[in-house]
Amino acid sequence: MGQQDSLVKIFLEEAGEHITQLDEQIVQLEQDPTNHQLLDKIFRAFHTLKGNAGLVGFKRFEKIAHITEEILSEIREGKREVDSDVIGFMLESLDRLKMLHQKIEVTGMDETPEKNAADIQSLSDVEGETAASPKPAVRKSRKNQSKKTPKRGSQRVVKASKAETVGKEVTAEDQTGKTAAINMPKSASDREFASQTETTDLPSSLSHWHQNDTAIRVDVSILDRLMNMVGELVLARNQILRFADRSDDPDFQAATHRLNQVTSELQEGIMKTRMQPVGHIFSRFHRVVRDLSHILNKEVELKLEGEDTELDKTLLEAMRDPLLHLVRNAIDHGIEPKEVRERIGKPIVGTIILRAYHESGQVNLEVIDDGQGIDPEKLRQKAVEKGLINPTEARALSDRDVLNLIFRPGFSTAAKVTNLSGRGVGMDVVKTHIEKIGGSVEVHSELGAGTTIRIKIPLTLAIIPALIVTCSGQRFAIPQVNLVELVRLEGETRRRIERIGDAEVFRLRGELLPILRLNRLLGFDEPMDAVSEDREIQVIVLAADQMQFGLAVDDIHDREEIVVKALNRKLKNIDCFAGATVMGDGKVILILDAMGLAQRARIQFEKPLTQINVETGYTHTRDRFGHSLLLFTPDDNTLLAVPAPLVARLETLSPQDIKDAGHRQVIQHHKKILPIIHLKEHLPVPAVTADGDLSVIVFEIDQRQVGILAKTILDIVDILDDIDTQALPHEGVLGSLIWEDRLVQIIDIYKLVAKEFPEWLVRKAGATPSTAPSRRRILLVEDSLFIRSIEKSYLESEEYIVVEAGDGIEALARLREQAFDLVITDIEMPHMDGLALCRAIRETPEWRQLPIIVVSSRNRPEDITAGKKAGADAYLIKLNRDEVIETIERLLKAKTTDAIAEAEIL
Amino acid sequence: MKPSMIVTFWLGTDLFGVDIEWVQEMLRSQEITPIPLAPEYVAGLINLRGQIIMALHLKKLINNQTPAFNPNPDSMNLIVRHNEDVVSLLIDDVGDVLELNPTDMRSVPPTLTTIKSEYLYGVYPLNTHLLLVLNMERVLTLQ
Repeated sequence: MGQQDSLVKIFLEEAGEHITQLDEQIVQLEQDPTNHQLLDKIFRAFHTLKGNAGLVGFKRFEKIAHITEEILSEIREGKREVDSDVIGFMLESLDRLKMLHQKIEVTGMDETPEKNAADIQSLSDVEGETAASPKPAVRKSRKNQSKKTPKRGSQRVVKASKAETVGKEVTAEDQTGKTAAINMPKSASDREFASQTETTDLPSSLSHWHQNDTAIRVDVSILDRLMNMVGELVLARNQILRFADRSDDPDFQAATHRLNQVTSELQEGIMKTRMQPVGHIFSRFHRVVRDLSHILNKEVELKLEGEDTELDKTLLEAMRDPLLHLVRNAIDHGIEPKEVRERIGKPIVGTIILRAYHESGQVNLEVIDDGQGIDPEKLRQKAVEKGLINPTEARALSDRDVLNLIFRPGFSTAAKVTNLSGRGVGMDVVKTHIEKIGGSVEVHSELGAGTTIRIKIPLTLAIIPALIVTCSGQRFAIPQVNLVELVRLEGETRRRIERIGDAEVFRLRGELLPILRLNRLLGFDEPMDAVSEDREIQVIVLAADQMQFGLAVDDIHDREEIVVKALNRKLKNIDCFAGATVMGDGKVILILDAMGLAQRARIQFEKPLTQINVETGYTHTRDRFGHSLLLFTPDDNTLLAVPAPLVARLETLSPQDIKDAGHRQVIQHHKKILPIIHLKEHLPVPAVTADGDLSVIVFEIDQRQVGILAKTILDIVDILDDIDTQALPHEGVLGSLIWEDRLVQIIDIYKLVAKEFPEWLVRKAGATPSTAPSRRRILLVEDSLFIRSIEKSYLESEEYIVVEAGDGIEALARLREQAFDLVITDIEMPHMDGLALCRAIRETPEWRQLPIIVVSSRNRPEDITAGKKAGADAYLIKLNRDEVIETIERLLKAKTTDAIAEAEIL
Repeated sequence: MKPSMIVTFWLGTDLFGVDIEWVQEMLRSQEITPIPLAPEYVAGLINLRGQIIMALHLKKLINNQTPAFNPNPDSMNLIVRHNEDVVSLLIDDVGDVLELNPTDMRSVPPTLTTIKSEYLYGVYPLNTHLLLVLNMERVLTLQ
């Protein structure tokens, strides 16, 4: 019994491989009918299928393979041409074999016993039917066999007699059912026959043989287990590495180093064993493309590229359906009908390329067609018709962002709905599938030239980067792949969490981001309101299942590579968790599932949040306090930017909404007047051209709001510190940078406000005499030129004299040269950091009273304590202008009062 | 009939037994990571030499009513295995391994109300105690 089972298993595996290859080979044969080597391969495959099925006793399977083999052998003998009938017949048989293969997989049988006779009967019908046109030739050849081609006569005799016995067998089986007894001799003769033909074909099969020689079959479950053990080894190694850090023993450290290396190599090696070339899946598409293009009466050629690129088996399997859908789409909607292609001068045969390649630790799969491309205008219309977006939003979207609309649920791009694709579900399902395995998908299209869909998938799922967070004292891991950005809410910004009924939302750059509190989602019974006021909140912006939301947690720790372990099956229905992992300290923590959390909270979006950032938001991860810029254009040519953290919100309006009020223009909005600064009046930039709606970028400065106009908001991009503040110096411009080969000028909003509304910034003039008469001198210590420019700008707009320093050492040099009223310093800096600077200042008697404000992006309580301990008078978070200004005034005032008090005492 | 080897353990004052076939090992108290939203009888996850396994409050699972259930912080882990499934049952204390004759096993008295009888296989009347033998298949399916 057990032996039979394993035989069946082997049979299924082998048959599966043959069937997959045959799909491709038969289609190839159709294109190249005289390729004898290919014909021989196909013949051998059917022959093997027949023989194996006979051995295991799958009669129907055997029979179908046999009939096909017969026809193939006639072709080999030159009695029949490879024409579309023959190809059609072979494909049909193959389909039947596929069905039987599935049936055997499920039931272990290829036929239902009681239906035996009927089935065999219908099979003979099949033979009659399918052979309808080939039939005369079959008949003729059978009759003529003995007269023709004496060279290979002996073989033909074997076959001829076999063909006749088969006919008899069918009837014999029908009547007696003693199949096994009758069958035995036949399969024996088959094998004999097989050995004959195969020996004659030795040269062509040599390479194949050679390949098999170095490969063995291994059960995937064994590989899974090995993978698990390697995961554990990685953890054990991590623990030992930490011991080694503390140890002074060089031998131990050397051994650890070696262990480290070997473990990494082993991990890589084991991961490789699970890898399969994507060709496994790609090759199936020959058949799909052939069938579909026939049905749609299009001519399409499929090209495969990078079939050798390898991918984890599980991931590869998961990609099959999405790819199928994409290829179908490409043929159905992408490639134009023949007549159209001819008319517009394209080659009549359309091309679809399936391409795979590695790129920075990921595998990219592309489905490329040279069809009509996607028309962004039509997409806009369609999206509006379907109510996915409103007309204003539609116009605001760039063409690139518009393309991403096809991934929205309920969006079908087909103008006419066919039964092949475009059923209303489609691309959104593809996207969900891909995201489920940690991948992403993007679309590029050129109208009239074609469409490329690119899928990026990780090489493996077993070890992933994750962010470690705490909530109610428990640690959790969040897979990096879902992470969009991190936002810290405290003080002023806390007020931006608002409530709509039961739901909390946060205004993030003009969009409403739903906030989920992890402790409440997980049922930790912490009274909600007790959490509120004074404690700060960390919000992790996650993207999952086509949406973004903020997850509020207590604290955020490091990023770590974690080994994902599945939870017990019994816990699978808690969809908040994707698994668990063992941390370096041996403790178990749970991995959060962003999609599950979102579903649990049943987030309903009035509209998706991704208006300005549809693409990048999903595909990249923003660094904690990386410099992000909001990119916009006044005329579709010039690129301008403002630091994104300074933006309060974005709005859309029609040009009619702009009203003249006295000598300046304003927008009436929510019963409030929003003054507008026209960049053109201050900077050498073109005027905003308005042929439709405009965007307004709104800033909030000292509780007052001001807007600047833009034709289109392009994107939010993260930049490194490569801003050039010198190249194009102009008042009102912070600096410039090159982004995607284009020049971007960064607007200095504080400077512009100071010019336009001088009364806003010189506030409380007279009220605080301390700041007014003699201008105060501030030493600004910050290594990032970018941050420094912003800070300098707003300090200068408050009439302070700012002297800059790039690190602690430079700062001390400046302090020795000249007198300052106050020092503002960053913490993380090269050479000498902010904490060291604070201590150095406090240790020098004449500076002991000098007010110091630390401005940092580090915001954990221990950082703040460390800052205060080092001697800082205040610890603030970067780019919070109002808070910085307020603190400066408070400290300077206190200093003055002290001085007065001191003077009075004396 | 072949005698059964029964691993015995204590839940409060009750003596329970499991056929040794099920038992993989016994561990001292382990750090448990609680699983939010999981059923009450799920204590959490423990790290068994790199393998993450689920720990169950056996008391909570099989008792009919435990009005004030206080998990025992020093619970021992009885690691049981069924096919690929490895689960830890939290128990209060370990007893002996007894060799018993299956013919001596009696059916569960219908008057037993504190414990859900479907989790029990039978009872061995020992000299000093009644030994309640768990129906492990039932325990592990977590109905």
